[in-house]
Amino acid sequence: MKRMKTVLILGLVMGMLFVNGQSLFAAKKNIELTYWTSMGQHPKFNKWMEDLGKELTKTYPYVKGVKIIAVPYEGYEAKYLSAMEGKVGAPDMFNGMVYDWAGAHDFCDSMPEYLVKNIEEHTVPAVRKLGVWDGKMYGVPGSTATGSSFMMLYINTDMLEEAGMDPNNYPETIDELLDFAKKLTKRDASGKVVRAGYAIRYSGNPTGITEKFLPFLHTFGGRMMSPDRKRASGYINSSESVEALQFFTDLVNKYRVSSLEIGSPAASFGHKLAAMIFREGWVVGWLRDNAPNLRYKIYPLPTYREKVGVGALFTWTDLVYKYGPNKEESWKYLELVWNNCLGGVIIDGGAPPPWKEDLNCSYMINRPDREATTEMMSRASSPNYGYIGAHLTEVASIMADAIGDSLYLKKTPKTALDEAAVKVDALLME
Amino acid sequence: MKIIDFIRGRTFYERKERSGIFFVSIAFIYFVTIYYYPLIQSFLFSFFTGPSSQNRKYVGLATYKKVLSDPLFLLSVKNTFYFVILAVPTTIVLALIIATFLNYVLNKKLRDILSFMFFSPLMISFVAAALIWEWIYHPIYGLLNNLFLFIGLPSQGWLFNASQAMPSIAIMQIWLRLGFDIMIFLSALQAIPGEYYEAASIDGASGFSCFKHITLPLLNPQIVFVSIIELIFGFQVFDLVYTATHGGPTNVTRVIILHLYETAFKWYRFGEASVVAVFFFLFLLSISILQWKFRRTTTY
Amino acid sequence: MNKVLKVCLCFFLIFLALIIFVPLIWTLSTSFKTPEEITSLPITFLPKNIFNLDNYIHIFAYSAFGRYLLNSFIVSGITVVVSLIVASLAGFGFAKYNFPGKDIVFFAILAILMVPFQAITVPLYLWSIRFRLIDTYQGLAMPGLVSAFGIFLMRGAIESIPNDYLDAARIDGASELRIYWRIILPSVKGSLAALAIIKFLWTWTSFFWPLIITSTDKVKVVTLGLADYTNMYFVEYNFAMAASIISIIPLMVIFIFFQKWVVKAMILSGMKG
Repeated sequence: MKRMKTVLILGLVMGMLFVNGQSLFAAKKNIELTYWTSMGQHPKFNKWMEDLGKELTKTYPYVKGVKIIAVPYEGYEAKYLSAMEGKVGAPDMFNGMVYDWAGAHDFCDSMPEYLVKNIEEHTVPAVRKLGVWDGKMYGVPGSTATGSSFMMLYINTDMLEEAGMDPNNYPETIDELLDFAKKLTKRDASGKVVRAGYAIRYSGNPTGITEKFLPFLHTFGGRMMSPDRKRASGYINSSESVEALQFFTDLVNKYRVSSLEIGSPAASFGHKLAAMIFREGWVVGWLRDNAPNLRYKIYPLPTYREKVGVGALFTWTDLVYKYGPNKEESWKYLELVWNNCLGGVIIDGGAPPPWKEDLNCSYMINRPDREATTEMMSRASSPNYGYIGAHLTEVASIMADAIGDSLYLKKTPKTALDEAAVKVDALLME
Repeated sequence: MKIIDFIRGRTFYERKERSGIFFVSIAFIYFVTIYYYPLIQSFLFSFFTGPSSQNRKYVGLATYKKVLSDPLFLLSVKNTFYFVILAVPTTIVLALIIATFLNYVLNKKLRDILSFMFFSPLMISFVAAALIWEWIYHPIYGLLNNLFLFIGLPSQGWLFNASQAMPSIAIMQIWLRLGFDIMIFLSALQAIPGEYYEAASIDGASGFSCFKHITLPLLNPQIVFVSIIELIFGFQVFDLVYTATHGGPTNVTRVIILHLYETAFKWYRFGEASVVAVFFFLFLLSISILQWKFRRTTTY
Repeated sequence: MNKVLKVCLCFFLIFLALIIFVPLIWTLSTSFKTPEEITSLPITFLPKNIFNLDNYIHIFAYSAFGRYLLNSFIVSGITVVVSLIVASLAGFGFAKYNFPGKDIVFFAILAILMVPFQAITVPLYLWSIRFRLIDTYQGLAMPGLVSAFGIFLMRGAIESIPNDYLDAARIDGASELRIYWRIILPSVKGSLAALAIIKFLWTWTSFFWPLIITSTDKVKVVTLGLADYTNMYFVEYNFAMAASIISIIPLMVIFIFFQKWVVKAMILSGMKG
């Protein structure tokens, strides 16, 4: 008997371990939609999105609201993938890159017609393209706002004055950029750069490194691959591309206006360790919170052979999970968000909203990046490589390796890019 | 009753044996379902290609060939070995020395306080430790560079310098693991009867000789134990590197598990990731078997 | 050992211990600073206002960090309790019984330590879905419930219990489980305590699995709470350091409280391979 008892108790304990007391109801009653994002750095915007979720109850009375969940950026791919593979526990909506989740995996629902029309009315083509995969639209960079989709030049006006330059002047070409950088760099007694004239991105996530190099690559006339995205040789290692990488490397090693030991550009700019950087519009909000006394101006990207416009490597868009039970409600919610982004953006002071009308509203008029944004959006869009889909991250890593090897003088730009070309070609052939 | 009798076994010895199996089986079943089943699934993955569960194609050993000749994989192996060579022996030797010295401290209070201080890094998660040290290593605002400048040394790149990055991470690992090893050695040392040393000093042995001929051999099981554990943890390093350097600069801190993570979750090549996982597992297994055999022949 | 040498040793040890401890003090100091203080040169070791709790207040106001602490406790607690039971049972089985395949099974269990967790993540996650363990305490605890290391430890400790005690009890008619409960467990209290502390520590500081399996604040743990202060673009060091301190304090308290036990435990257990 005693033995039976102990076995029963043990069985109960084990049973407890495998039973979950959650309700298994799937009825549409009192549901809360979930939205996952890895953009934890916009807490006020995320909160605004949650508040907006309550408006959804007007259309769907059984929807309580929307829960915005910020997933740590480190490891978010593993988390997204596990959840969506398993289908249970996956979010209704999420923020991610369209070529990952619609391209490599078939996890995205395509946008309903009425919403596509809505988007076409209000956004510029360059912005719209970011959410398109294989001809279908899956989302729009709403919650991250257009401001994540292209970079602009930030320049510290105090430092300009200090160097005896006109604080309203700015470099329009790459040559001028170099010129300005030389005058704005500060070095210590041993010759080490302690304030970069122009701060480059050389560390952290490899895809970021590539992305921050692309404005240079493109303005020199280089490309990462052929327009039909089938070949990299001849493009990634074209003479223009090599020239671009050479210039980038020279910034650190020859002209010494940049340093590999100064931390990330945005932070450096905020800490007055860098005079100029290229970065997206969200920095405006960050600077307002973390460096409120910094005086700076924003301008469109300098040019060389080509004008660089909208179109970054990353196509962060709001997407809807294909196998979720609440797709209709989710699209309605996103419609709310996209049409009202201006509200959230005002609260966060973050990046500009994707709607083109908003560029002229009172809020935008007072933003330091308004003219630059308008100018950037009017330029032809940059080559967007998102269309090669799944392998883009890997291509970006290969490119980042080449950039790194060149910057750290382990290989010449030509060798690095030639080797990269071989690897990318192999990838593209799959 | 008859069935229970049958299961429990009829003879005394049978009963004993079966109980043993029962006690062990709980753990065994758990491991088979939670760890071995996924591991075998992973192993099977290594013979197929295709992102996750869509479009899988059987390719046999092709993935193995591909991975083994992939320079990035080989680089990550090299880096991991470099890391282990830097971190593991240093940790063990330092721990041994510190534990030996600690053993001589007679004041229990002092010994407790010191032990606590050595042990404290263990209470930090790897991610937190990476952030703390990232901040200490920061080229401009970090504690280390400012200290260096204060005493007249030039500031260093640490995590941003291609040749200093790996040693910087090794330092993090040593810092994190030291306390654990010290505790193990210390407790073993305190269990050694004092008579051994008294006898030796009567015979005129010096302090160092005592250490070499009494302490070390008696600590052998602990040294082997600690070596195995540190090697396993060392080769499996991931969180530290991922948070602090992401494998850079220029892939010098790219370790095997990082390569595995990227291959699986960023590039969606699950076949290749599985191959890496299988190799890794077999490799660690062989090291541990070797260590285990070594121990069996030298215990007293 | 003469006195002078002893004193020198003491100083040397204190010096080393301080070096090891300094990063934590620096973290504590940073957690009391404002972002401007952190990024001003020359850097200051001590914060301007030694009890500037702004960072801590922000953390508790903008995230459910108190809840995270509670969750960490619960999950670590569950893991410890189950680990102790299963590991000691299995250790008993390996130490005092002989059955066919014993060594192979033991080795198979030890081999678990060599499995890279990232390799089994997705299958484990799919497993969790099947048993509806997503975003639950049970799901969080699942991979750590039984410790191969613990079995190793327990086997070593139980091996040293003299067989005579067990045989005497058997002659008196005690069942095996009773022997386990009445004789084995009390004899290895030390090792149990050591295992409990190590397991608690290990579960409290785990990151990757909690990341995968939690989605909401319901069961989120402190390590994830810390990660919230890092993101794609930058790290907010003042908050990150404060969050690190918050996650460490409960462990320190437990350790100080149990330190006597742990040291004694490690001695008693002998930690013999």
